[in-house]
Amino acid sequence: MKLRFYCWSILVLACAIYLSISLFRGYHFDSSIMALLPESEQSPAEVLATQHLVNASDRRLIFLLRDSDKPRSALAAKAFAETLNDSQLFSNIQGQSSASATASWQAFYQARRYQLLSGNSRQRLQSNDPTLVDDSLGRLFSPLASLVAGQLLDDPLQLFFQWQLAVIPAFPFTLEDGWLTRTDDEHHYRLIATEISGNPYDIIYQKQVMSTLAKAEAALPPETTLLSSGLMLHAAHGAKQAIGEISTIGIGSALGILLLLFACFRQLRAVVIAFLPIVVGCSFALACSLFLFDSVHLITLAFGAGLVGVAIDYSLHFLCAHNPEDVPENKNAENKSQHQASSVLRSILPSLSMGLASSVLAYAAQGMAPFPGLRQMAAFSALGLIGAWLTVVCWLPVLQASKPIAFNTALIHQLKSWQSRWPNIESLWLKITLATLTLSFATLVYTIEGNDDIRLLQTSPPELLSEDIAVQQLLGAASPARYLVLEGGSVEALLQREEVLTEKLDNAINVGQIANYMSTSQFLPSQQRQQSNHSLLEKTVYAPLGQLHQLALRGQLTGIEAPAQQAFKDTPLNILQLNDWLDTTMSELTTHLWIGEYQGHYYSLITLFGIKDTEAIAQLDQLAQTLKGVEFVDRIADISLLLANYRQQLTQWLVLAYGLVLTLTTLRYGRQAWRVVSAPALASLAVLSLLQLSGSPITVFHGLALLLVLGIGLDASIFLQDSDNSPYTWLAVTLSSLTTLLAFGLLALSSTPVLHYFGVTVLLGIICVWLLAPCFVTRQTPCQKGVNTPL
Amino acid sequence: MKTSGRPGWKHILYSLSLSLVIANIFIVAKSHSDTPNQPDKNHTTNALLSAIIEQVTISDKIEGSFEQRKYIHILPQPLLSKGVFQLDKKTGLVWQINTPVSSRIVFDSAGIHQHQKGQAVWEISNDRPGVAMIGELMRAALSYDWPLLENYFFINGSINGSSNSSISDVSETQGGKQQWALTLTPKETTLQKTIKHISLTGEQTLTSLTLFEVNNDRTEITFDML
Repeated sequence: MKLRFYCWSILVLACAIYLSISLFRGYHFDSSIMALLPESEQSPAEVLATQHLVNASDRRLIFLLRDSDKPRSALAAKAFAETLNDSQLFSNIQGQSSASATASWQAFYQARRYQLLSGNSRQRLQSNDPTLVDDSLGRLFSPLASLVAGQLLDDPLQLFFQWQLAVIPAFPFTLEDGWLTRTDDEHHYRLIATEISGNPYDIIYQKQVMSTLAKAEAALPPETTLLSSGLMLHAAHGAKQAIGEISTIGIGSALGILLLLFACFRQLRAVVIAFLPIVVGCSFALACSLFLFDSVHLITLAFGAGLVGVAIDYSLHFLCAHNPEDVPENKNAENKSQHQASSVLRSILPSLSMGLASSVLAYAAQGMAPFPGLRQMAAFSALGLIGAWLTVVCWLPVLQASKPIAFNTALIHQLKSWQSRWPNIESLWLKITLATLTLSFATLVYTIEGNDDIRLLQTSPPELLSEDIAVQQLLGAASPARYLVLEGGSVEALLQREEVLTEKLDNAINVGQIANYMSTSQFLPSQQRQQSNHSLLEKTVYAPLGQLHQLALRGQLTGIEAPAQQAFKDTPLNILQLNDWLDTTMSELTTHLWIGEYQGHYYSLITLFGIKDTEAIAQLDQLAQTLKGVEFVDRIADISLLLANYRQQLTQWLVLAYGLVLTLTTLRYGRQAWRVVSAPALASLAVLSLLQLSGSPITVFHGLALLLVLGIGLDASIFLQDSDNSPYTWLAVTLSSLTTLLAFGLLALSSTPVLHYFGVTVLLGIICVWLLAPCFVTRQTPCQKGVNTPL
Repeated sequence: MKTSGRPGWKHILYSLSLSLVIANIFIVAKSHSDTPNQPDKNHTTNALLSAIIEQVTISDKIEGSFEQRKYIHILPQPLLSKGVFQLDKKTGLVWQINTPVSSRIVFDSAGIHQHQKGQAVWEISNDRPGVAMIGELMRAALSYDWPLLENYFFINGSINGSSNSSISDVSETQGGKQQWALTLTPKETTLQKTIKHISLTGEQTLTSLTLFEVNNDRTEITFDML
């Protein structure tokens, strides 16, 4: 026993030292909202695409200042940008600007203008469309002349001009008063784009940025509205929420549990002994998690800290079983109390271990979920329970040795009286009631349709999300979660593949399925395409009697024909290469599109704008399937599908788990096994029915929580059954149910949907288990004793 | 492929839109602004603009014929075109060229549409600010929409051959047809790169618009209102 004590003490000490060192060094808990998201089965191309996209945007924050008054909004924008600038927290703040976009594009492509043709121009040239010349003359002789006449010799048919218009992305903001501005019917929007200089998940940095933003926003005139968008805002919100919930839920349940224990034992030593396994369990779990995982998530702490409240079970069972009344042979042998303590341990060890095994099994099932966050929570909880169990087994017999714990006897008597009146399955009316309830619950549960909406995973408040959507709409941004991923054996092959696909996408634009798309090959046509464009121009526009000649003739511009011909001849084919493109500043616009080489293959993205409806989504998916090396990615559908799959799998798992548990308990209890399994099973049905009746969505997370209900319910039933329904065991079960309720019930208050669902399910489940478990267990002498005890 | 620690879809939400947008901004905004000092828009300019408004004919529908001469430094002769136009608040500005070719271009709030023999051949939407500007400018000038023009230009001018400072006699010659001339200078560097200035002249109606380009080309349009 001493050996056990010292071994565990050394381990706990090691954990404590490791923990203090880690925390002292300023460990930053992860607050990223992504951690809860599942890993879907993705192709390498999709994985690359996702990673690529993420790297591009973590540090960006976008602000729009909305005001009905224009000069006021300019002043507000100026003050806002200055506040951000003064904080030194941003590496880049862009609001006011000056240089011309079009000019730099034109300068870059000018030397290659004869290799670039818009899809429409190419088609018209190939079909020798006679109206082409008229269109060009029409523009040249209109007020648009000021845009196109300057290039009369270099681009007589305005084909390069049209290519630029087709390719350079539209941006609805124009410079006004020195600010990028968009004006709609009622409001003016000033755009301020920033890049933060720190890590968006660093909580300390987050706080600094958020308080700077709050300060800047507070200084805005009352009529000016700030709209913001950026990953960090969500990360900051998630962190704030998690910290808030840890403090309220954690402190709330700790206080509640302490009060409960005081009410029960009225003795500090007993409370300390009861609480010790939790504290040690938590520290053990945290130390191990810090060691095992790259980063520990704040939500894990919120969930795990509350959950280790279950660990109090073990010490309670130990304390309750330790009561002299239950071990009468040692009643007057205080000098043998140490021996007594270890015999108590021996007497409860099977139940204790069975309880631990069933709980850890439940967490192991949770750990099989493809959600990294849930996996971590499961590991944390299982480790916490193991730590608590070891503390009870190794420490409590030694600590408890000095003298036995006195109970609040009034409470015990009260419990006895309740217990005696508690209905039992042996009574006919309860049999009928439970049978009816089971039947109606089962019917209700049968009607449940699962909810796999991706919003279940949403941890951000709706205001933040709708602001995001508003900002993105105003910016005219690409569809965030739906895009095409392409793969090719070489740069050239990939670009050619893009060109095949974009021709089909042009059709999709024409029939209104999508508004637009953006691809690398628009800016960097394949070599093949550049060559064919050049030779097409040679054969048509610049051929003798070609379109140039007709233009000169019809527009009475004969003077320009020879110099325009000369310009074409003087500009040899000069293939634009990938590196030329990547080296320009304009390619910043498309860096998110070009993924590059990975294991000998090349990957790129095509982003889509304004996808019309689900029909269009289906068409895009089909289009991708008909082309080799093209994948249509629909992240929203992917994740919903994954949630649905997982929910179905989990349902099967739950049924399987009950089967396993039944087999396991049959080995121990024989034909009485149903007595320990019925309570959690019926409780689960009841919870599902109640949730269904209340209109709550039933999700994969409810299923996971039901696994916990199974674990905890089984625990309670096993103890009750093993102790022949002793009032002390019932006290322990009641206390641990109450502590679990305090731990999990408060989780139901969480505004993070996942934690909320867990909390509600476990809350209801434990109440049901607590009510039901005594009904099913074998009722023997203690019960009759209770009836006969006058109170 | 190992799949742990992979970012989720929500990331992409920002990535796609933001990278696109930011890149755009950074390209537009490579250097920091040095917007020219705005001359005090004194009350005399306001008085001048309202004096013009008082004497011009304002109606919902403006139509007439035009002659456009496009002077290009590489050509000895200007490009001359003639046709008719119609400006309607609802349908926008319809610019019908009759010589030397037949072409119809509509400038409206959605963008620019070109029609050839009744068939749409070319179209550009208003989210191309640089291109759409021409249409907006023409519509604003023809409908005397000074506030819109002041968004982009500093406006100076004179009426009846007198300069800004001496327009006190405007009121004395009520109803008389006085000549007025305005010079529009671009406020933003983006416009300054292409447009040197624009001059508008008129009496009871707008009679001419000349756009002077930075490369010394110019577009001269004269109007003959119905």
